[in-house]
Amino acid sequence: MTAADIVMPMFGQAMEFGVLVEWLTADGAEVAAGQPVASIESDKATYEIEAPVAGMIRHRVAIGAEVPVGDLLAVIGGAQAAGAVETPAASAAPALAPAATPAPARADGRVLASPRARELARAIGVDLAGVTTARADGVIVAADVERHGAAPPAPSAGTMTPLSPLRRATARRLAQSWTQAPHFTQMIEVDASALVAAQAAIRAGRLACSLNDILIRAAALTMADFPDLNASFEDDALQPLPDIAVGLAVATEAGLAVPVVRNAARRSLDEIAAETRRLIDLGKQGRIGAQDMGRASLTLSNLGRYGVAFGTPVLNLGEPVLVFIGAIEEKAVGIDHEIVLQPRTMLSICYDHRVVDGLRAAQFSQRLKQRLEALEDVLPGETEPSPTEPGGARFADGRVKLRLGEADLLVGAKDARLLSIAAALAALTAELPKLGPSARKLRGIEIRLEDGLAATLLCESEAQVARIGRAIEAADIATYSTAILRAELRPARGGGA
Amino acid sequence: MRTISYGQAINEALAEEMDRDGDVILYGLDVAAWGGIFNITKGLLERFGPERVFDSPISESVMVGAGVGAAIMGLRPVVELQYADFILVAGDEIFLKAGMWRYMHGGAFKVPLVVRLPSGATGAGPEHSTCPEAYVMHSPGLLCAVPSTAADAKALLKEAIRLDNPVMFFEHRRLYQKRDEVPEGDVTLPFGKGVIRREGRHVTVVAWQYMLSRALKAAELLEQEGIEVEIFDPRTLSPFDSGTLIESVKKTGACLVVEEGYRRLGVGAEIGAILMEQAFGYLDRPFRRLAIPDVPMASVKPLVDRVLPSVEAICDVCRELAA
Repeated sequence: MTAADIVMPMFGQAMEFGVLVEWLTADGAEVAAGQPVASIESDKATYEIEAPVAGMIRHRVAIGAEVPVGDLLAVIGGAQAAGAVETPAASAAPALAPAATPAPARADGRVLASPRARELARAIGVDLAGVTTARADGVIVAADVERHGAAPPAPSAGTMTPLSPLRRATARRLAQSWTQAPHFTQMIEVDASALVAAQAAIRAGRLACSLNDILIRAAALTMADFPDLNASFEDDALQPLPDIAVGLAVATEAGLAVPVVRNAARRSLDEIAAETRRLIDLGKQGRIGAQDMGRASLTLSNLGRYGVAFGTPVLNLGEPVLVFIGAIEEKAVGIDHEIVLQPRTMLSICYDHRVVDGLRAAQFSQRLKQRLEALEDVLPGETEPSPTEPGGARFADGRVKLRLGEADLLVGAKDARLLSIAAALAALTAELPKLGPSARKLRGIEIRLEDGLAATLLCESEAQVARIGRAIEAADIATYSTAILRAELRPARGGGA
Repeated sequence: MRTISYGQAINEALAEEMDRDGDVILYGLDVAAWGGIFNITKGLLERFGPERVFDSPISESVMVGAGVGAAIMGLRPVVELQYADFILVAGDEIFLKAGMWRYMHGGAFKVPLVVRLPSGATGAGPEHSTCPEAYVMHSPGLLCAVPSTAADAKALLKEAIRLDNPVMFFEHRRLYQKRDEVPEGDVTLPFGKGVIRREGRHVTVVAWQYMLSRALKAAELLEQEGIEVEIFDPRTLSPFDSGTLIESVKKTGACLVVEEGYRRLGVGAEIGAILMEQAFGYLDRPFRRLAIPDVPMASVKPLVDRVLPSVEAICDVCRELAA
C-alpha cells in the first residue's frame, strides 16, 4: 500500500501560513494521482494542490483553517483493490447521533480528545474547549474538530471577524500597492493566430514548452526593450530592478505555482521552459524557496482558461507592470474590407504611473502585442544559431541534449527511465572515454519527466552515432524496444566549432 | 488454480522441502507410522524412509533439545509438538536454547530448527487447546509464523525450513480442513510481510488464523451498515509487519486486534504499544483488543464459545470505533 501525507507547501519566501480555501474532493473520496484535491491561498495567490499518489483521501483540516507551512492538510491511504465495488451503503459514513452535545465538563477542567483530534486542533488553531462531540464517551475525535472548524462563525450583530495573520498580510500588501501606486490599465487586442499555432505545435510535441513559457519570454524581451520601465518607485526615486524577472501566476491543469523566472530576457525559450518546469516541480513538492520567489519586473496573470476576457489587475507590491492575458477566442474581425474569423485575445496591462507615463506604456503595450503576433524572436527559429558552446550538455525543447560534436542522435522514449538507460548506454560506449572532457559532462545530464520525452545525444561523427545507436538497440534495452519511439540521425545545428 | 486443504498444503511443503534438501528431517509423536495425529504427515515415512521421518518418545524437552543439537550440527529438523501448549514443557530448550544460543555463542553456528505447533480452541482445555503465540513473540531469537490460508501455510513453512533461525510454526487445528487455492510449485513467502485481506476506511482489524475468518465474517455484516473494515493479517508475528499496519491506521485512525490468546500481555498488547510508539498522532479512537479473558481456557464447547471472540463481539467493537 502506498500512502502519503499532503502538507501545506511553501509558495513564497515570506509564507508562514496558508489558508485552506476549499476541498476539491470529499473526505473519504478516492482520488487519482495528480488530481487537484485542495485549493490553498497564500498571501500571493490561490493554488491547487494535487494528490501525490492515488488512494482514499482523509481531510485533516477544515475549510478556512490557517495551516502553518509543512503541517498536515490531508492523508492519502492506499488505493482500493481494483474492481472493488462500492455499494451505496458502504460509501455512507456511519451515521452520527443527530444532536451534538458538548463534551461533558470535567472537574479538573481537562478536555478529552483523541491524539489525532489534538494534532488537528493544533494544526488549524481550534480550541478544543469549544468543540462538541456526540460520542457517548465524550472524547472529541478528529471529525468533531473538522465539523467545528467548518462551521461558520456565529455572526452576532456588531462583532467583527478578525482576519488571520496571513489574510491581514495579504490585505496590507494589496492595499499598500493599490493606494501607493497610481494604477492604470491599457487593454490591447492581439491577433492570437501565432499563439494558437504555437499551442498546436506544443500539443503535437514539436515544441517542448508551455504557452506560458512563450508569454514569459515575449514579456521579458519586451521589458528588455524598455529598460526605463524596469524599476520600482521607492523614496521618491526610481530604483532600477537588478534583472528582468518574470513572475507567473497561473492556475494550470498541472497544479499551481508562482515561479519567478530570473534573467528571463537572457534565457532561451528552452531554458525558460526548463526553469518553469523546475519551479512547477518544486511547487508540487511544496519546496519553492526564497531564491525562487520575490519581486519580479512584471507578473503574468493568465486566466484565459476560465474564459475571463480582460481585467483591471492590482500590481504586486513594488512591481511596475502586470500583464493579464485573457481567453483566446475566435472573433469576427474586418481585414481588408472582409470579415474573417481570427483567434484573438486581450491583454490588460497594468502599469505603475509613477514609473511610466501613458505614452511610454502604450509603446510597451504595442511592442508586446506585435511580439505576440509574430513570435519571431520568441520561438526558436530553424536558422537561429545554437547559443551553447560545443561540448556542453544542456536542455533543449524538454529533451536532453548531449552536445559532443557535429551530429545528433535523437532518441524518443515513453518513459524517463528509458532516457536514463539511453544516456547510460551512451556513457558506457567504449568511444566516449576517448572524448576527454566532454565525456565527463555526460554525467551531468539531467533527465526530465514529462510527456513526449526525447533524448538527444549529439556526437562527433556519424560512425559514433551508429555505434551508440547499436548500443541502444542491443542487449537489455531490447525489452523496452516497443517503448522507444524513434532513433534518428539529424544534422547538428551550428556545426562543430 | 487447484484447491487443497491447509493440512495437505503443510504435507506438500514438508515433502517438497525434504525432496529438495537431504538435510531436512521430520520427527515427533506419531508423525511416522501413524502419519500424525491430525493426518498431516501421511506418506512421508514411505517416501523418505525411517532415517529422516521417525517417531520420538514422549518428552518434549528431549524432542526440541535434540532438534537444537541437530540444527547446530547442520541438519534442518522439523519437530512436531502435537499441541502448541507443549512449548511450555519444552520451554528451556525453546526459549533459552533455540532462541538464544546463536546469539550467546557469537554467531558461531546457525539453528535452522522448525517446531510445528498445532494450536487453537477445540474444547480440549487449557493444556491442549490454547494459542500461545505471545510467549514466543515475547522471547528473543524466535521467529513466529501464524499462517491463515493453505497457500500461506505452504509458502511460510517452506520459507521456515530454509531460514537459519528457529521458527515456531503455529498450525491452527480448525483450519486443517479449510480448502484454498494453492499455487503449484516452489512458492515461499518472506517473514515479516503481512497482507491486507480486505480494504476499508473506518476501522483496522488485525486478525490471523481462526480469528481472521471471524473478522472477515464481521466485516461482511458491517459493510451492510456502512462500516468499512480493513483487515490486516500479519502472517508472522515475529517479525511483525508494523509498517503495513501503521499505513492502514493512518487511514482509519482506529485499530482492533482480535486474538485467540490470553488478553493480558498478549499479542494485542504488543501491537497496541507499537501503535502508541509509532502512530500516536494518527489514532482517533482508543486502541481495542478482543482476546481470551484472563481465565484458564474453557474445556467444554458452550464455554469455549463464550470466551472466544465472537463475530458479534467484533461487530460491536467496530461499531463503537466507527461511531
